Amino acid sequence: MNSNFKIIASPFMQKDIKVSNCGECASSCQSACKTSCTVANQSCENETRVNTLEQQREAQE
Amino acid sequence: MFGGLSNLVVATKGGVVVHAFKRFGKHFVYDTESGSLLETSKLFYLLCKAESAVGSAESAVGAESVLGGAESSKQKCAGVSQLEKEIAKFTASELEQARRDIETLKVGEILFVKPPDIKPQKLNRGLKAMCLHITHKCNLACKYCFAESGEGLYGAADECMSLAVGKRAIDFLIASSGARQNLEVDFFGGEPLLNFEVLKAIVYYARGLEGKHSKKFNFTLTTNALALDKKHFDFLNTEIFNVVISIDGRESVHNKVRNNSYKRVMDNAKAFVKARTSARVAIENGASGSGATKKGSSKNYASENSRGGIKSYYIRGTFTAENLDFANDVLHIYKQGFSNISLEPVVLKGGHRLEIKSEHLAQIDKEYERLGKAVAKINSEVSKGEISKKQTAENKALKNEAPKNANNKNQPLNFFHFNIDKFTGPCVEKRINACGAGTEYIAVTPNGDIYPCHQFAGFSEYLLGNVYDGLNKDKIYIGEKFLNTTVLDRLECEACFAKYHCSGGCFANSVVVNNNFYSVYRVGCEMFKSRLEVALALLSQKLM
Ligand code: SF4
Ligand code: SF4
Repeated sequence: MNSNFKIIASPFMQKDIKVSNCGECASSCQSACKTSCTVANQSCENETRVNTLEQQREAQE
Repeated sequence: MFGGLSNLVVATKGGVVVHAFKRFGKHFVYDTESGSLLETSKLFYLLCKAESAVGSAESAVGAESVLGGAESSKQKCAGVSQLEKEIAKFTASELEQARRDIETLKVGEILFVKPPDIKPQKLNRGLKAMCLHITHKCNLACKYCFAESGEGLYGAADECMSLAVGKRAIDFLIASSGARQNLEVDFFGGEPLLNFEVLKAIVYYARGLEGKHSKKFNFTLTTNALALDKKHFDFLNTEIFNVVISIDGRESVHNKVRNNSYKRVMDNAKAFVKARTSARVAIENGASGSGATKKGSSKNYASENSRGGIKSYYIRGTFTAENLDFANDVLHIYKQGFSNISLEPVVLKGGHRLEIKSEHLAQIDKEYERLGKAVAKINSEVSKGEISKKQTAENKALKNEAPKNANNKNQPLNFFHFNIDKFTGPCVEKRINACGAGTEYIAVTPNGDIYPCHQFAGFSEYLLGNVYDGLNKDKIYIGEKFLNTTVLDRLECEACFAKYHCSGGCFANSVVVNNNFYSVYRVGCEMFKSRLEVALALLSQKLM
């Protein structure tokens, strides 16, 4: 590890804009009274995307 | 001014948003526009912070409005000179190395990355989720409930949905869902169990239509558990993929706002979760196909509990100005044997005694970090396979009240808001679009009226139609207003490091608290940012 930094999460936003938006994931209400999901802890339901991301994960780990 | 928070939220020129922060005594740099997160040396952190702060002071946009005008500008300048002083303590060669590292990461598009060229699709692909107010009756009268807030929401408080309305709502959802396959129906109230027979019949009705229309329904239910009884268990454990039980934490805290219901609610919830856990284990062991978890997601309950068919639950609670030491409530719930926990700050309008105000934020920030530490500790011990014998003073208290039932023996503490999947989280479009209220999500009241979401129910301005007559053409513009307001359309969010996690927050909060659809609920923002920092820092420990 570099003495100044360790990468915890790699950049993904720029790559991800090309594959997004299939619309099958759960809805994500943020209100306190509800199941209240923050958007970011929603999971993705798009298998193609998840598989690609999993491959990237394996490559990274 | 908000805060007491030490971490500047800053934007540099060209829309780059880099956020340097400290948590758990460690330094982190988060690049909002690329999603990268680094754990860094102090010097690296200081340099990033200084670079961001200078850019921000020069461009003087976005963050200004979040942090509050001229005062924040002055504060930033003071911040920059303080940073310079700190940086001057390092040697020239240390500085050179750190600068070189930053440069390398810039070139490699890992840090200080330009925003992705997001072109919001703003697609209206029809409904995918519906909140069914199955009844407005309730067997509790919680002190902070919005149904009690006099907005006229639950005007006829003992209204129950009839099966006819329920069926019609399901038909409406299917007919309005376009090509979507996964549909969600959340049973909400009032207390949904008070209209249980109708609820069941609606579920069976919807199941009967799945094949014909190529849809898959996922039902969820939010209950106060006061009436939760064995007679409900089988149905809930077969048909409802997520059951959310409201418990606020310690007995005294819960009883004060939830009408002295602690004992009964806790007993019921324990019995239910025990039954549900067995049902879940049976599914997993039986591997009947529908229960498969996604590869690599075993630690991430958010992934696990998605549509894989595995029955999940959450204990959700609310904290208020009266229990700002809410980490104790989360830990209390965990100690009672529950692993999946969500505790939310209450949202109330000016003047309410339980309202969270800006002067509470510094304490809340510290509390999220304290909770993060406790969660990290518990989860690392769980992952080591045993509760450590060496007790520090801090977790001694925790040990004293060991779980009375074994629901969560060896289970990690899954605190909902710390649960971020850095690999397979939602796509960019989802991140900018928020909840989908009014476009892909609607609420239906007992008489069949349609609103953009459960929190808008009863606001005549937001009445969109009725399940019998469909959407009112004169109100189509309201759906469009929701559809066209992504986080990218909110000026106050432009320079916020949390924007792709928060999506601009809750529309209802903006309307209820600020009376302005396009504004943000700032107290909520600060709490959101606190817990996001903690969640990001926990990623470095691979504990969430
Ligand atoms: S507007 Fe708020 S309460 Fe309504 S669905 Fe969206 S996040 Fe939830
Ligand atoms: S609403 Fe969300 S994205 Fe916008 S400023 Fe607040 S925390 Fe940040």
